[in-house]
Amino acid sequence: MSITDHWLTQRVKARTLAITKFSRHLWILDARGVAYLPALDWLIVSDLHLEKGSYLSGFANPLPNLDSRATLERLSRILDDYRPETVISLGDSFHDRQSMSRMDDNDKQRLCELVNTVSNWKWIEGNHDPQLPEGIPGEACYEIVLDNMVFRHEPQKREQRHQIIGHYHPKMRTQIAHRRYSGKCFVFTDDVFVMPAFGQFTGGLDVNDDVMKQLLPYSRRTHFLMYDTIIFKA
Amino acid sequence: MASSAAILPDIFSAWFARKQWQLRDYQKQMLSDKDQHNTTLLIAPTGAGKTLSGFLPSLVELHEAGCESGGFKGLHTLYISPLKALTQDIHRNLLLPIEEMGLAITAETRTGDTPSHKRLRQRKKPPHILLTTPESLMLMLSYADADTLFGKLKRIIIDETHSLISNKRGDFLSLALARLSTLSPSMQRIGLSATVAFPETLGAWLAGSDTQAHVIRVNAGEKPNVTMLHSASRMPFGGFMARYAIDDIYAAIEAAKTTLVFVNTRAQSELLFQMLWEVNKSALPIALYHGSLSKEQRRKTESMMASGMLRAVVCTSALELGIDWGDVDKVIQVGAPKGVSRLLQRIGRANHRLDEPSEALLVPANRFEALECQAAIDAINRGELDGDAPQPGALDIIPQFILNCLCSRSEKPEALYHQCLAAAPYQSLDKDDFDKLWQFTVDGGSALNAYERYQRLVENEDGTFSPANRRVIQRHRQNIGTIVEAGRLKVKRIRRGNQGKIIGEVEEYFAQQLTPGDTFYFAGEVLKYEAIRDMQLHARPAKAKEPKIPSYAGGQMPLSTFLAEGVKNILSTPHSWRALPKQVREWLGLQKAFSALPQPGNVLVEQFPFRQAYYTLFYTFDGRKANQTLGMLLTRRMEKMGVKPLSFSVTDYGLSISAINPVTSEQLQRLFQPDILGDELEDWMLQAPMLKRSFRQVAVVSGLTEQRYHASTKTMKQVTFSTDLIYDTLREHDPDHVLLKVARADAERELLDLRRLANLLIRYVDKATLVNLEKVSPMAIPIVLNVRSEQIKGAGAQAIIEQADLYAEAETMLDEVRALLAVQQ
Repeated sequence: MSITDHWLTQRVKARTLAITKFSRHLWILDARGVAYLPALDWLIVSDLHLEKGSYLSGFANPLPNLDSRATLERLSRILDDYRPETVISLGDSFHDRQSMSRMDDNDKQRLCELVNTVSNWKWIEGNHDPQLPEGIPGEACYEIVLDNMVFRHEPQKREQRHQIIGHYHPKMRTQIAHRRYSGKCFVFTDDVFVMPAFGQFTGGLDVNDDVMKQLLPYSRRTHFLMYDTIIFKA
Repeated sequence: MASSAAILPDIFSAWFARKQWQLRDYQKQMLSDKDQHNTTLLIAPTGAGKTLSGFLPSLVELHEAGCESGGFKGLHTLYISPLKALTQDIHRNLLLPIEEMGLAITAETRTGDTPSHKRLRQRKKPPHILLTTPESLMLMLSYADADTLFGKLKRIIIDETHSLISNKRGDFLSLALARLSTLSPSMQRIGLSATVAFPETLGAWLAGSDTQAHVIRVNAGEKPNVTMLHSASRMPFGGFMARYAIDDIYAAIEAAKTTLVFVNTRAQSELLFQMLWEVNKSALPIALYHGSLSKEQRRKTESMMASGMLRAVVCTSALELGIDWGDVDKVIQVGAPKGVSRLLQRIGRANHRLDEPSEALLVPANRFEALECQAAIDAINRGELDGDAPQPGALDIIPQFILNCLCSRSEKPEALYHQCLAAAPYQSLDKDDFDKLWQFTVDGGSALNAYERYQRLVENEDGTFSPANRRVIQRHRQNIGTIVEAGRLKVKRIRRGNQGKIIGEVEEYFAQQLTPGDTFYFAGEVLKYEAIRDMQLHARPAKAKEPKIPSYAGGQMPLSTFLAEGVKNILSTPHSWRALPKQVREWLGLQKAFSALPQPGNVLVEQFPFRQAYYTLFYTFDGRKANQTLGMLLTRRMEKMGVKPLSFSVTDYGLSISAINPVTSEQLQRLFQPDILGDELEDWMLQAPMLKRSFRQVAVVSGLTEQRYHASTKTMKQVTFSTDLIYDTLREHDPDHVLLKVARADAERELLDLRRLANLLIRYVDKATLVNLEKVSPMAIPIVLNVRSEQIKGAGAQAIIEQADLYAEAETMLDEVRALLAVQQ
C-alpha cells in the first residue's frame, strides 16, 4: 500500500474520496470508480469490458476501438496511487471471449505489465468472460471469500453472507437545490454492495430499474454518486 | 403571351373549361418556357394552384409522347415531398386530373409505408410519375439498378422547397439531386415554394453549383388579417402555456367554421388539446395532429378534415408541410410566432382564395410574448419577411452519401468528390475534409485501426471502392431514415406484460428526462413511463390528474432574430404601446418602476437572488446565436473570476446566468472585455454540453453509431451506451479524428464567429447598466423560468453539493481510517 494519512486527508477534503462502512470493514470509495479496503490492502474494480469498442465495430459501425487503451490508462494512474497488494477485477473484465485476439499489441503489453506490478491479481469470472483468456497473467476464480464477505460477479439468491458484486453498472440521478446531478454510482444495503462499471464504454442501469429495486430495496439503500471529479453521498 | 390553346393540348383545355378554371399566367409561363430553363423555382402562396403547376409540364409531355410515339417507357418524373404520407393533396392535384382527362399516365407513391411487393414491382416496372420522400429517394439511389431506374428521368419536382434550406434534410436532398444529374444529365428541376425573403438563395440551392434558377414569383394576394388576443383573463408573466386564454380560444373556434390551432411543440399540442376538451361544452369535434402520432392516427385526422367533420385541429409544424386542408377559415397561433415567414406559411394554410385575406389570431402565452406577437404583426403589415442565411452543408451527411452511392456501384473517391461539389451547400467542400470523411467511411478514420474487421469499404484493383460485405449494405439501408429523424424513440403503449401497440414517437431528449413512474401526455391520454426496452419507450395508460413532467420548454424550433429587433424597437417607442393589450402596458409600467426598461444604445443587466442562487440577466436582443455564444464566453470568464456559475439559458432576447456569487460592476466590465484570447473560448467549447449535443447528432447521422437496433440476441443487449463516452475518448486519445471536427462545425452553426463576438462586446463594454434588485423583475420571469438551461460543470456545481452538507460522514470515518493506517505503518 502506498496511501498515506496526508494523501487521504487531502482527497477527502477535495471530495475525490468518500469513506463508508460495509460488512464491518472501512471502504474508501474513489470518485474515479474503484473501491479500496485499507485493512486488507485490496483494490476492487469491476466491469472493465475490455475491447467492447472493437466488438461493436464488428457489426458495421466504425466505432473507435480506443476504449481498452483509455481504460488501462485510467487504471494505471489509480494503481500508481494505491499500489495495493491485491487487485480484484470483479468480472466482465473482457467484453467477450475473443477480446484478446482483437486487442492492440501495445494495449496487450500494457495490460500484462499492469497485472504484473501487483502481487495478487484476481480475475473473477463474469457472464461476458467465463474463462480467462490465454496468456494473461493473474489468477482466475469464480469468487473470493473473506470474513463474512463474498466477492463475485453476479448475486446469488439465498446467500447468507454479504455480497460484493458488479454486473449492474449502476447509475443514478438526483436533484439538489434545483440542480440535477447524474452519473455512475456505488449502491449498497447491509447485504449487497454493487460496484460501478469501470470500462470506458460502459453505460449504466438506473438504480430505480425494477431489477435493482428488487435486489436493493429502496428504503435500505445508500448511494454514492460520482459527478465530475467528486463523489458524494446522494 | 401565347394563348392557352397553343400551349395546352385540347384534352387539357377542355378539362380546364369543364372545371371552370383559367390557366393562370405563371402556369402558361411554366409550360411555354419548360425547355428553356434547367431549373425553375415557383414561389407562390397556398391556393395558387402550385402543385398542379408543377405537374402540368410532365403531364403534357407524357400525353404527347403517348399520342406520338406509343408512350414513354420508364420513370419520367419524380415528385419529392418532405412528408411521410402523401395523401389527399396528391389525389386532388394529380390522380384526379389524370382520371378525369382519361390520360394514359401512371402515377404511384412510394414511402416508408409502401409494402415491399409494391416496391419491387415499382423497380421492375416503374410508373411514369413517382411520388416519394427524400429518404426513399436515397434508398432507391442505393440500388444496383439505380442507373437504369433513373437513366431517363426527365424532371424532378421538389415541393415545399422553402423548408429544405439550411437544414440537414435539405443538404441530404441536394446531394441526391447531384447524383441524379449524374445518372440523367438532361434532368430538369422544378421547385415549389412558399413566399420567402430571399428567393435567389433558394433558387441557387435548387439549381446546384454554378447554375442559376429561373424564379417565377406569384403575387401574394391579400395580406392576411392578423390580430392579437386582448383577453379579459389575467395574463401570466412567464410560462409557455396559454392556459389563461383557453376560453378565448374556444370562443374563437366556436365562432369559425374550421380552425387550425398551431403551437410550437408537440408537448404543447398535447396539453392544449387536453385543456380545450376540458372546456368543450358544445362537444365540438376537435382533433390533435403532430408528427409523433402513428400514421393511422394522422390519416384518420386527415380524412376527417377533408370531409369537413372537424371544427378544429390542434397541430404543430407537422401540419405546415404539404397538406392543403380545404375550408379552414381561421388560424390561431398559440405562443410566440418565432418568425414571420414561418407564421405566414402557417396562416397560408387557411386560405384558398387569393382575393380574400386570411384570418389569424395570435395568442401570446405570457406578457413578454405579446411584444413578439406585436412585432410580427407590424412586420406583416409592412410586408417584411425574414429568412435563414444559407449554411455550408453539414459534413456528417457525407459518409452516408458515400456509402449510399457505393451500394449502387463502385466509384473512385474523386468521382464522388466532384458529385458533392455540384450540390450547392457543398460547393466549397474542402478536399482534405472529404478525404478524411472518406477514410472514416472506410474504417472509422481512427489512427489505430489495423484489424480488417472494421472495414466497411474495400478498395478494388482499379482504384474504385465497394462495400465490404452484404451486411454493410443492409445496415446502411435500414438506417437511411435516421439521417433526418435522428434522435427519436418509438412509443409503445403497454397493456399486458410487455404487449402493446406502437402509437408514435418521441424525441430522445424527452425520453432521457424521464424516470420510471413519471407521467406525460401522448396522443391525447396520460401515460406512465415504465422503461426503455429495445429502443422503445414503454408506457402504460394511467389516471394521474397532473402529469409530473413539464415536458416542454421554449420549443426546439430554430428561431428568427428578426423579431428580436422588432421587439427592441417596440420597447423604445412608448407611443407604439397603444396597440398592446392593457395588461402588457401595465406590465411594462411595472418593469419600469421596479427595474428599468431596455433602452436603445444600452444593454440592461439585471441581477437578483432567485432559487438559492444569483441570477444575472443580460437583455441583449441580439438573437439566440449571439446569446448562446455570449453565454459560453461569460460563464467561462465567470468561472475564472471565482463567481462560480451554475447554468445559463438563452432566448432571442436575452441571456440568463445563475451563479453562487453575485457579479459586481467592476466584474461586469471585465466580462465584456473585447479582447478574446484565442484559447479562451476554445477549451471551454470542447467541454461544453453544446458540443456534446452536436456530437450526439453527428454520431448517428454519420453512421458512427446506430439508432435502430435490432436487439433480438442477448449479446446485443448492452449495445447502447452514451455517445458522450465516445466523444470524451476521442478528445483525449484521438483529437484529430474527423468527427470531432464535424461536430465542431455543426455546433458552430449555432454560434457567432469570433469576429462578430468581438464586435458585440465592443458594443456592450461601456454601455452596460447593472441594476441590482431584491427579487426577480417582471421582465425576467419568462427567461428564468425557461426549463432548458445549460449546466456548467465547475466550482459552482460542487459548491451546491458542499452547501447541502453531504460530506459529514466522510469526515468522521476519516479518523477511523487514519487510526488504521497508523497501526499498519
